[in-house]
Amino acid sequence: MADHNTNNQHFAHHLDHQHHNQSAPDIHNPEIEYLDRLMAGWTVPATRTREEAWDQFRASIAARPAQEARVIAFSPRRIWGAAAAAAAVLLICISGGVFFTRTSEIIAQAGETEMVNLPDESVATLNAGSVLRYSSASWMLERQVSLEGEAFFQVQRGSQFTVKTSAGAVAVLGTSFNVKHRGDILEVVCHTGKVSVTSANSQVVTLMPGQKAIASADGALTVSQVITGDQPGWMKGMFEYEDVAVQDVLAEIARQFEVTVTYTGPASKRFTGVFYDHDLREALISICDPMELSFIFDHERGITVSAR
Amino acid sequence: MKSSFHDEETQQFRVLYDQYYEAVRNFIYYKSGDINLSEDLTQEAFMILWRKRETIDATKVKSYLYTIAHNLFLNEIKHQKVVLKFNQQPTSTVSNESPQYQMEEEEFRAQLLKAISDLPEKNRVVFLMNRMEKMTYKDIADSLGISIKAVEKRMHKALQELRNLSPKI
Repeated sequence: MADHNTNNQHFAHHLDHQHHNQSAPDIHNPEIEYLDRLMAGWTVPATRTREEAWDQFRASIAARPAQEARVIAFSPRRIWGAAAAAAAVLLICISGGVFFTRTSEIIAQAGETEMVNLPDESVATLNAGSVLRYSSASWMLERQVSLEGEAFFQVQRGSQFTVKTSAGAVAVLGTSFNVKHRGDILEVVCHTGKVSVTSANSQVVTLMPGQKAIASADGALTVSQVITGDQPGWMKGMFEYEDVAVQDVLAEIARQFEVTVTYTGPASKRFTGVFYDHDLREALISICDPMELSFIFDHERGITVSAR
Repeated sequence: MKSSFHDEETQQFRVLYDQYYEAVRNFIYYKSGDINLSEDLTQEAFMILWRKRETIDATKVKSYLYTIAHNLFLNEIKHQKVVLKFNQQPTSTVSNESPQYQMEEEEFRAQLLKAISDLPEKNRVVFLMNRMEKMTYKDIADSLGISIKAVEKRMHKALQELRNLSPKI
């Protein structure tokens, strides 16, 4: 500890020294200039040059089967050969699928949101504690993602775009909508365009802007009107609930603030209201006060919410 | 001849390759601190781009390339502690400082490197893209598909942390 402090003072002294020695300091940001000076000459410890990397890259694209297919001469007596080559290419493409079908997995950790640019420029914004998977290889054939958690989608016009969850699927052509799958409940809100929701037991409903569908665990679908802006509230740090189990609301608190929450109150309590993501204590008060619950911070990151 | 057409296409692609190879490799290095992984994933990202070259809008190549690289990286690694290392190229400025001063500076450089390695990944990557790659905030925002404001925020946080090295920064 003492050593650490000494180092810090050392650093400060050094900076002073540096400032006095600068002939033309950048008045806006002298520290950046100093950082740059320290970092000058740093290079990434590459094991090969760009030229070497390119040679390797060119060799691997030259060896690509589809390119071989291109140079097959077209003459009647070689048609069978060409067909065989084409079949071989197809086979290689299929067996080469391991490379192509790698699934991209994007995770928004607790307390974070992630913006995902999908291959066609559609955008998915993941709320905290959510996972999105897609295959960029098969994207051209099928625009499909799978989701655990919650995300807002802004979809480019084009072929059908599908969001799969274990509680049902959402299909659109080009629109913006929010998908929330937490616990057993799938909740879809349509912001623009039209959205089709298919529940786990294959019930289908088409949502217009401002409509919300809830698919429950048994596959039943209910549709209601909601007030929507151009974005869901969570993207602006606002979390709104109408008649939702308190445990579910506290689960969102845990995801947003990166804390663990233990609930020991009555299981039947349901919450209607709002919390904001900028202050944990305020958020807890806005949930606990109207519900007649109290909360304590047990240790650094653990919260227990119980009946008063 | 078809083969020469192929060559021409390859040459066109090389322009892209030359333009972005180092930037993308360094981008993954700033995330991972693993140079072998960075070089491999960069090749793989270009390979994916090559296979899709006919369907990608030329104006979107850059952000697309970064997105592929980012996603490939996410597939590879889950939460490993990053330890960055850089080669030290001799700088052009001739130092007439005392050996004592130079030794001190060397020490601070090591402290700084450790502090940068310890930054949260997002802030570290933006900081290094800006200071090492000399990319503008707008350029970084376009590449990462985030807003300029988000870039400013990450940069601000990175500088704030580095400032903790000394109250004077």
